[in-house]
Amino acid sequence: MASNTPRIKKNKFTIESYMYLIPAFLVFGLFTFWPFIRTIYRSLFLTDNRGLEAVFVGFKNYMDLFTSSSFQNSLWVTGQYVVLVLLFGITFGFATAMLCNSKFPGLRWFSTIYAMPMAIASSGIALVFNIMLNQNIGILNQLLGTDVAWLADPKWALLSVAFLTGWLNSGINFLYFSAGLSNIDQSLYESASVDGADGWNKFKYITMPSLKAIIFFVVVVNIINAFQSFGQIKILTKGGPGESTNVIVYDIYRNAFENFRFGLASAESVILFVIIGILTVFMFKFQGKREK
Amino acid sequence: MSTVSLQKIKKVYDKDVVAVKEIDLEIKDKEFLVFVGPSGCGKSTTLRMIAGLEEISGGRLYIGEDIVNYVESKDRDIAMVFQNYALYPHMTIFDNMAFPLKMQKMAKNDIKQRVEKAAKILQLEDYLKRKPAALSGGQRQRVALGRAIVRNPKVFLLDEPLSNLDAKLRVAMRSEIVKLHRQLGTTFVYVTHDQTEAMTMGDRIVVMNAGKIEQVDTPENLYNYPKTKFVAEFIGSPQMNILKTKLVATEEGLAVMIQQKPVLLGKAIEKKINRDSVGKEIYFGIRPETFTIETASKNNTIDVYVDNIERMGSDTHVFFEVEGAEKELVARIEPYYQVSYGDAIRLSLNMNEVYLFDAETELTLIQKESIIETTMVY
Ligand SMILES: Nc1ncnc2c1ncn2[C@@H]1O[C@H](COP(=O)(O)OP(=O)(O)OP(=O)(O)O)[C@@H](O)[C@H]1O
Ligand SMILES: [Mg+2]
Repeated sequence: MASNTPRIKKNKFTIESYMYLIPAFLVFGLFTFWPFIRTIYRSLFLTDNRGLEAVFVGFKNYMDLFTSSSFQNSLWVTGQYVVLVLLFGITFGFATAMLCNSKFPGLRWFSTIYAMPMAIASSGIALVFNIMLNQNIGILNQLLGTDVAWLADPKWALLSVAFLTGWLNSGINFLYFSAGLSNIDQSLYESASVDGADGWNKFKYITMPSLKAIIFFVVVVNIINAFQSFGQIKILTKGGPGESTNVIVYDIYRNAFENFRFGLASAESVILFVIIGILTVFMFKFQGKREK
Repeated sequence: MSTVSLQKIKKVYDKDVVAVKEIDLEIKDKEFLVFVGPSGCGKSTTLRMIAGLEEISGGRLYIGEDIVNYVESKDRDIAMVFQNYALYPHMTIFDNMAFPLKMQKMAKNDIKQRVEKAAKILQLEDYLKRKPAALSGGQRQRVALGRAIVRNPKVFLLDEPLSNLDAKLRVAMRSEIVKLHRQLGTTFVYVTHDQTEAMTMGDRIVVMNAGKIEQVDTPENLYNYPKTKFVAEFIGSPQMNILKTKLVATEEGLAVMIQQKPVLLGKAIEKKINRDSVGKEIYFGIRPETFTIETASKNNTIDVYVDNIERMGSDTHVFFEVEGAEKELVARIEPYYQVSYGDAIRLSLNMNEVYLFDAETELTLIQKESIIETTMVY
């Protein structure tokens, strides 16, 4: 190194460098970390009607939850819901991305349509679905010639809501998968053709392995997303009929803002956080193992 | 039989970009055929049409006895090595080489045997468990070759397989590939833009220019009897010198005007020239290696000033200006001559080893039986 070039000191943290972080920390602290810590704290209390901690009860809220059949039902419903959303959202996004990966007239038009759900607000479109799925006047029954209570029948309600959410997610999934597909070197496909591979083999040995990282990423994001859906459930089913669409997030809302049991709702939130956390860690571990 | 026959093969992109213009070519069984030409002349396009990776816009393509215009790549029984190797990044070297066999649903044991044999030939045995990313350029290149040789395809297609290697490795791989061809005894079709590669590797060479075939011939014939000015300039290094001048008749015989002086053609050449060309504008070509330094002034000597010198060690390239030349001429002379910039030197031309082309058609004016013969070949 020439003697007159100033040496750049690495790993030297000055007060100044921390100061640059203050604005971001303030925002995060105020709107994420602080409420989160308060939630954990509150989950150990019984609260009054205004949501203030009244009586310290230790882990009683958690005990109550795990023994309540309603909460157990919520867990089960959430599980089903997440799997369905994942299935719809990823299948949709992947299939549309595959379709748009070849050149044909009107490609941009189709791409725009498939990516559109990304730009739609979930509660807004839920209002539209509410009408479309209506048993008497809804277009879906008219088109299919059926007479199904899509939202009022416990058999169908969860499926309907999950379908809507899956479709909403499919827009961004389409975008991720399209980016992944266009990143695959075309000469790999050409080489495979010459080596004797047919369409299915090319898909199996080139497309899928090349998309592994993206698929993993999309699955993680979609799972986290699915666990947190609220708006569409609030508008379409309000957790019903019965408790058939009462996913954890909606149950939290009900406990907090309808029953005013803030302590219990906080405990639920903490459990949801732990579930998502464990799932995420587990998936990353699994992915890491497969890479080797 | 692994012959390949192109009959009026044509490629048009996007309705109006003509990449290949109706070419006819017979590729013989077991031959090493090289396509050479400048960038964009349509070499890769032609090869890719043979491979089935590019739709054929017109004409017929035969592999062996069968017309294959509409046969998919996977069913053409060909192997191809790509310029960027196109190795499957997520498979090990073993799996990469095993892939074509796996597609044929060959038994696992046979696959293992074949891959190991190919790996041995190409000295890849130690790398079979690695992924392509963990190999050097030269090793990847060998894997690409390996993937092609594990099965016994009718034809090998190679598109500039050496262009991503450094100069030394390229020379080494050149002879490796020629050796491989000899061992396998299969038809090889090889694309390159490097005339040295073409000359050293090919049994026959196809010189292409702007979507057309200029000449198909052996390396010797291309060098000695180029049919067009383009081929003459393309083959040989340094490039052939070209002067635009006139062919004239004098009392001693035919001559070309060089620096306003009629220089007599050698008797051997003179016999082969059609008398109709006398008095016409021509391109006069002379190879750098046929100049010699001379002291006495003769009919076939020219006096020039040295413009630039390149010492190669084994010989010296001397550059000089001559009237009517498109660019500076170059002479390759023995390295022991002490010449320096600005010197006046006297060079003699070997007038029996010169090339004459019609100024309009750029076709050769020298009639040679073998030129007519090779015309018949394709
Ligand atoms: N997909 C395409 N669409 C339109 N034109 C194309 C396409 N591919 C190639 N061409 C054109 O066809 C011509 C021949 O291209 P080709 O790739 O065969 O050249 P090449 O001889 O292999 O050159 P190089 O030595 O640079 O590889 C070029 O002018 C090129 O611009
Ligand atoms: Mg090319």
